[in-house]
Amino acid sequence: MSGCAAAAGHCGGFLITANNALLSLEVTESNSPERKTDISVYQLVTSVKSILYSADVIALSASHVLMAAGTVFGEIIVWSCFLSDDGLHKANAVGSIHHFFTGHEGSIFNVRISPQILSLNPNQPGRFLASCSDDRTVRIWDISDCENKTAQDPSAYATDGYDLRSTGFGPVGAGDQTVGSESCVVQAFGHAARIWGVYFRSIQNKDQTHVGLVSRGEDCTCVMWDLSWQKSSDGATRYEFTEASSIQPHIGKHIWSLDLHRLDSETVAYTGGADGALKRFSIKENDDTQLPVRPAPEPEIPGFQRKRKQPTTDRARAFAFVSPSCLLCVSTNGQVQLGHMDQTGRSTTSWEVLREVPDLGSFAVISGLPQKGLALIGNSRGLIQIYDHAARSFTDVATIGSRPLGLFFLETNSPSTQPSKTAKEITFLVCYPTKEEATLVTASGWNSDSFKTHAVTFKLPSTFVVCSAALIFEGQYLMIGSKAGGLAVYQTPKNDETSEPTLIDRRIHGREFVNHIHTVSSSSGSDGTQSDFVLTCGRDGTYCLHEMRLDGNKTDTLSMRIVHRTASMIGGNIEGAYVDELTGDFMLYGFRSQEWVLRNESKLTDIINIASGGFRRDWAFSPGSKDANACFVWRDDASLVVTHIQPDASHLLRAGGHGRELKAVDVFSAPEGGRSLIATGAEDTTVRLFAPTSLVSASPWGTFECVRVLDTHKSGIQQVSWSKDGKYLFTSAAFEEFFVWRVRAVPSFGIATNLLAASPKDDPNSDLRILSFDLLEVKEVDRGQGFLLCLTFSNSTIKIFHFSPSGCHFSLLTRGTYMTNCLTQAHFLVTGSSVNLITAATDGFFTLWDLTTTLESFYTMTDSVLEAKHAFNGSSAPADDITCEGRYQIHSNSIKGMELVPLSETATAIVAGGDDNTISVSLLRTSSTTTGPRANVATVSIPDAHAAAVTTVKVLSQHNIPDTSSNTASTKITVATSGNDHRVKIWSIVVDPAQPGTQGISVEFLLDRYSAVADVSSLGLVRKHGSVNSSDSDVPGSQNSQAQLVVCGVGMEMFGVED
Amino acid sequence: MGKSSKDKRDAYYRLAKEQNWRARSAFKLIQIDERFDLFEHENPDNVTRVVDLCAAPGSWSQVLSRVLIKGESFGRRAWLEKKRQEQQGLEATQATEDKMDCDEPTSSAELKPRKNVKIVSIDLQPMAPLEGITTLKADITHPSTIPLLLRALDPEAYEQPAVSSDSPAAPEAVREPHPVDLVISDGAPDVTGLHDLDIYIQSQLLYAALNLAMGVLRPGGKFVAKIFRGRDVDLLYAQLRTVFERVSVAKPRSSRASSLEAFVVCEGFIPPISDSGVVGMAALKNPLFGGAAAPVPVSADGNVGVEVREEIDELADARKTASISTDTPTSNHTTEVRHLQTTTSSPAQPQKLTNKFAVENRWIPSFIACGDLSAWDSDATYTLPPDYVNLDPIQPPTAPPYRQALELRKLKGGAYGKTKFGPVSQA
Repeated sequence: MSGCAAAAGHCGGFLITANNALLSLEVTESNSPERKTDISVYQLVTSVKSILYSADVIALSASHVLMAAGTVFGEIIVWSCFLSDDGLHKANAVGSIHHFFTGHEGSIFNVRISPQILSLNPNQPGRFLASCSDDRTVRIWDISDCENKTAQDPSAYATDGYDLRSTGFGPVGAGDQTVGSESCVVQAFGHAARIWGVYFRSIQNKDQTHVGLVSRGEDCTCVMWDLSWQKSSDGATRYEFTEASSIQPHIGKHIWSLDLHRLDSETVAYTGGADGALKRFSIKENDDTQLPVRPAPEPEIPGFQRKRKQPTTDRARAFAFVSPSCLLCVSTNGQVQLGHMDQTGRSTTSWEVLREVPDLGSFAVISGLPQKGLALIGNSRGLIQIYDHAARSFTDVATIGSRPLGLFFLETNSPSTQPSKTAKEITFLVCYPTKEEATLVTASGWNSDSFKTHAVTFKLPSTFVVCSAALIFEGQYLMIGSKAGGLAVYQTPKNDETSEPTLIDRRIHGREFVNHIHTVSSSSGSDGTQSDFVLTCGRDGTYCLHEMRLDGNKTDTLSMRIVHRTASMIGGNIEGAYVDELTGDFMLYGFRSQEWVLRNESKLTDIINIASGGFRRDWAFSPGSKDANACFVWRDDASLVVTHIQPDASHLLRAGGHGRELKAVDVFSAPEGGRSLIATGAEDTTVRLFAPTSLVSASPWGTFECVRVLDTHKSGIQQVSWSKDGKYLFTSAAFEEFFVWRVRAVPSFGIATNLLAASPKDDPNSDLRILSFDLLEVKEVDRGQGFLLCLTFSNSTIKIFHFSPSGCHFSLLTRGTYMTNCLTQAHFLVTGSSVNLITAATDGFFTLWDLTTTLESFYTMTDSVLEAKHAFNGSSAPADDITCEGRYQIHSNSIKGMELVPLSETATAIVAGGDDNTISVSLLRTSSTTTGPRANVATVSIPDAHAAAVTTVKVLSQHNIPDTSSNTASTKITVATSGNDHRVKIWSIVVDPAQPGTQGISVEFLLDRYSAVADVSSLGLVRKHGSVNSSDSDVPGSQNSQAQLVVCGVGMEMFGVED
Repeated sequence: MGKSSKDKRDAYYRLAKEQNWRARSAFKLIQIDERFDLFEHENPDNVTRVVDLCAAPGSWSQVLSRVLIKGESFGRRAWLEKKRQEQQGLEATQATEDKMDCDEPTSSAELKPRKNVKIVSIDLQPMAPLEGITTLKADITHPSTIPLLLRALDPEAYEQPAVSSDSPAAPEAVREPHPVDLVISDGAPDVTGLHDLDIYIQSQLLYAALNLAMGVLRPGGKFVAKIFRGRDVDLLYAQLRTVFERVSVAKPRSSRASSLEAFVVCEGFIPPISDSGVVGMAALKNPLFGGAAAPVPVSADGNVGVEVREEIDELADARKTASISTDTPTSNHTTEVRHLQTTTSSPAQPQKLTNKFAVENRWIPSFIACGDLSAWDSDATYTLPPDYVNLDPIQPPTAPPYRQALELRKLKGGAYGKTKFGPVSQA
């Protein structure tokens, strides 16, 4: 439960067990030549042998060990072990119980003995005990009296605990005054769920009458507490215990671990969550003797300080960044000011008045382009000036005649070319509050004689209010985003003409603002087609990547499609995105209710949350550069608040993965040179795509780098499966959710995923779980790719769909009903010109269904390939229900994992694992008779294959062993199984279908390995490439030189697999 | 999950409310009894004294009360009884209308109450009283529970302890106490989500129940306890086998296949012969099993540290599987059972601690699914009839430890006002 080192000057340590026994650990020199030291463990003494959830032990001196134990049943026992001073402790160790603390109404999840507190008692040092429990309280107890106890002092309680007294939760019964009457000195409620741990922060000052604590909980929160005490005039000590602040560093549930480290004026806390992440935050410490009356030490995330500009008589009218460290601001009295941010954050921003333009005091629009050191200022009469930061000059560039609503810089540079800092041509778009038109202005050569401007006004689609704009295809096209979620693309207007948009989609971001548009990357195909990948961010909390395709053969047909969408700020608003110059990470910023958020989307972690009052207050953000930190400025009442944000690298140590246990995995093994993708689905309702990493140490990722999170599902994921080519991902969950995703790699963006379609439901409020599904690639009428899908539901029904990726629609072909049991597995079985379905259920039976007769009206079946007879249109005109061919009991309870291995036209091996600890191997032989197909099944089961339920089965390899003498072939199958017993076992199965009954099945047990993953739910196999000839195949980290087995459950783990 | 969706999702939750059980776990005991004949329905006098550990909210005690005290029978047993009576009946009419209804336990008409029934139920939580059952509020892992239990079982065998606080009042039996026939335990801690800890605490709870059972069971008595089938559960099975003739692991259909939960059914108690020859109370002070047992020193100076080499965890020799039996359940289905374990001989005595983790100290008992396969499936979703009336649970959940925290938050209102004071889900 807990351990500590022996008192100073002594070697070894002490451990307390979960049954309240104290062990001593001794390190001695070894007699054996194999090693230097031996460790011996001695049981010293036991106290009341209750089961503990928590304990703390400290060695007060060489002869006195103090312990606190928190029981599962809500009691705290404080006791000591006294040893003789001569160091021969084990012989005459004595236990003595000092306190039984009762009062907690739930299990004690943590107890913690404080450091010595000198100011607590007048003449001797004091100590507190902190405890936390299921009852959501943290309680503080005074255990100062334990400090000076000796073996000679009588124990306050009988040590064996056999006295008759009541135990259990709740108040102590009457007549038990002697025990449990001690109460805590102070207690407080905190956290929204169970409190797992509580910790004392250090005390630096010996007169200090307060100490800080930190607690961690199931609610994924750390709470900072302040405990203070004061002697009142009547001699009693008054305690105050309050929650100072809280922080939620992890995702999902639980903070499982925490440790503290004092560093100068702060305490650094390291936390580990159920998401597998390791994070750091620091707490500002107050070492004054007394706590201020209004204590407000906020948890300061390292690397940001805020400085407030002193309110002046003039307020900021509008402001924008003109360089990473300079802010251009127009005040309400018409001053145009330049604010220089101090990078160290130590001094306030210094302001410099550039000029005074009185009419800007009442109205001004500013747009900045810090990369080029430019800004645009528009006034109420429509005069637009350009400010060049390098020359500190203002030049009139356009007079548009009426008040502008917004000014948008349009960058012509494609992302591949470095933006030149000296570019002397700019393009910008002006939009108006009332007119349904916009003006495109091009200006060049300001500050020189060759100054030229050109303005074109064009008509906008009706009700289309522009709130973002960008040029695509090297300026050939103009893309604008509206306040109602729309996107429109124009051929860049050259002169005043009524041009119509080439493309328009009014609901890209729902009905919310399209906040941001920029081109991420471009590519061109061999046939002359060009693709620009354009990113848009919206107030609906999502960001999208669009592929804009321009046909090269002079027709210039433009098409647009979404290739990626992620809802990254749930309930929030994404204002913009950029790629960090230093790390290359993809960054997002926006608002989540009242907070401004900067998020590292590549590392899936929030960098900073600033309570700025939401997006309706003016704000500006500069992403920073190599020389300057990112900076966020917002208007708070009359003043501007500036926040510098230092790089985040320091407080994310390990990025982690799913917030809860994984339920499903499927691996797309990339061909030579590609990167394999591991798709996982978990109880946290997300699907994640991981890529195995090659350099483990360099990144915050471990073995697996999460490249994408798909969080559209509303409930825990049941299954994930890739199409063979890795282009489509299929996922299922409860509420009858079955999704099809298109997955592709986009240059400089990474893996793009887009939800193509969701399967239709019979009842929109359905709560059925889709426990399993299988897919079969088929050919559409036009020879394109299509999928035959079989979904099994928790109410024992089966649905068979055709899915057409081109039209993104499902066509229901047929359905079926098993008994009443929940179906757990579905597998298509295709042999020659017949299609069968095998399902398994919680009753331990597998069922064979004939699909051939039903599917004949939809497909032609030749050589195991299905080809559609006619086009599917997404309508559901299901044929007759499919019928059950036969049921075979292979397990005595639920079948949890199953794989099919086709052996021949007529024989198939079925390997299954069940809740009954059993692995079964069944040989299914079908024969065609005049009355239809006949099946015969022979099953070998191994009831003691695992010590607990077998949850997953994975076929690793399959080889044919030809037998020349009998001219038959048997097949050798290597299978991995795993289950709740933390074991991964490898089996070799040889099946000879020619032998009668079970005689042709031999099962050999090969290997047994422990896996640290609890509740293993699924296994994935990263296949190795064909024969690897290259000499560097043994280099550690080189991918796919050997097959790898991915074990998923509570966490994930990867094993190398060798033949 | 709302009440209505839970009704659909969980057939047994709905049935428990319809049939007046305090919790759905009642069906688990009924289904185990169907398979193992726990209550020896043919020889009712063999099972009359029962201890129910970790009883709250009391559904297992309710089953005990209704089977032993009232003499009802349930489930398949009730149906068979009914059939038998109809066969004997004077009317020759075929009972064709009677559909087999084994999945919905209905009590049979004839009551067969047993004599000299003694049932003691212990739990940490206060439990609503049940007629004829002695209920105690106590911690079964705490040593002070032993004398409480002994006194409750044999009130006349123990003198009331002297009412003085200075003498520790361990009761001494005035005469040989009556042992009990059956000890059952459905106890589980509130799972934390930290798997190793949850499985450890559950195993310690089982050891505590076993240690108590060993002090009160008669030779040949039975012990049924909840177990989590997780890591190293085979060590636990092997230890149980040292004190019982037969150990099986039972999974009732009413227990979700998706949960780790199962039940060990141990039959034929063999009281261990201890060196000192002490039994009962004295033996309980030095429990044999679990973390509470005293560790065995491996060297003369009392060192209890055992070197665990990494290889012990790895098994690398390929093994064939040995055939046990073949069977042909249907004309086109042949089955054969083969065992991986080579040790199927008589139960081994507790091994020395040095090879505590070795293979020979692991053992996997036969897994037995209880309840009819056509019974309700606790994992399946059922369609409720349109006129279905949603019932409230029979026994509202006992006060959760965080009740006060929730109430406090409710009082505060504001952002906390959203917190619903919902019912606490039961296992």
